[in-house]
Amino acid sequence: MSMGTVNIPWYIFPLIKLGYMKFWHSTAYYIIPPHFKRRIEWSPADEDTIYHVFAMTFGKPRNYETGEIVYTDKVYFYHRWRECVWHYDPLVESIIQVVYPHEATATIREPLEILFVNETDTIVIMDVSIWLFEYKKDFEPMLNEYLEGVFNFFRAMGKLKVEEIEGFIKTAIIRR
Amino acid sequence: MGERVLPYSLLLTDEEKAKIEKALKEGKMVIITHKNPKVKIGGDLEKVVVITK
Repeated sequence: MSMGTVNIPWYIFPLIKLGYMKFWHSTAYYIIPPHFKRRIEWSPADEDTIYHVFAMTFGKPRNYETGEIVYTDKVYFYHRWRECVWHYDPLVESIIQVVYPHEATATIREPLEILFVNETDTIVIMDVSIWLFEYKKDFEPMLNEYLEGVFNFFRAMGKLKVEEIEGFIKTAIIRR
Repeated sequence: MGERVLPYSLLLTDEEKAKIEKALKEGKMVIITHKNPKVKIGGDLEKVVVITK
């Protein structure tokens, strides 16, 4: 079971408060039969919507018949999305017991891709929540400008000497 | 034996429970999720059964 708090990325707060993005999460049970391997895609249902997934949380994977907790590298998934390489996620504690951080963009043309694999003789059930912000495609250019602004600000700060940064902060405080 | 923490008694009808058992016997994966027209589940779905509540 995922441990810890699902934190909203700090740079997203203004976008929520100003109404450009809306929060929700999608929760599902997955019941995976033995000796199973299939790829599924998960995305918004329409062309005009984009999902920014910022976390994934997992319940305890269990033996479907007995309810016993199952941690194994023989049940796993591979997944990828626009900003992420194809990689292996076994149902082991270092994956299941953390809030899995994401910076994932999902659209109908670029969905989250997940390959479910169960190499055991056991039916496994687990619940998964996908935490996301939803926004409209029209907003993407403005979002990119905003993110470039964040990047440029920190890039500029990185070029300053420590004394210059201290001076910048002191000036900002005095002006308040 | 562990605790059986499944949503069946609260969420699923007898018909849905039967659908799950049938799907698993046929080697299909089952996804139980909320009814949400805003999400699309696609891919290799011939061996995946989606039950929306």
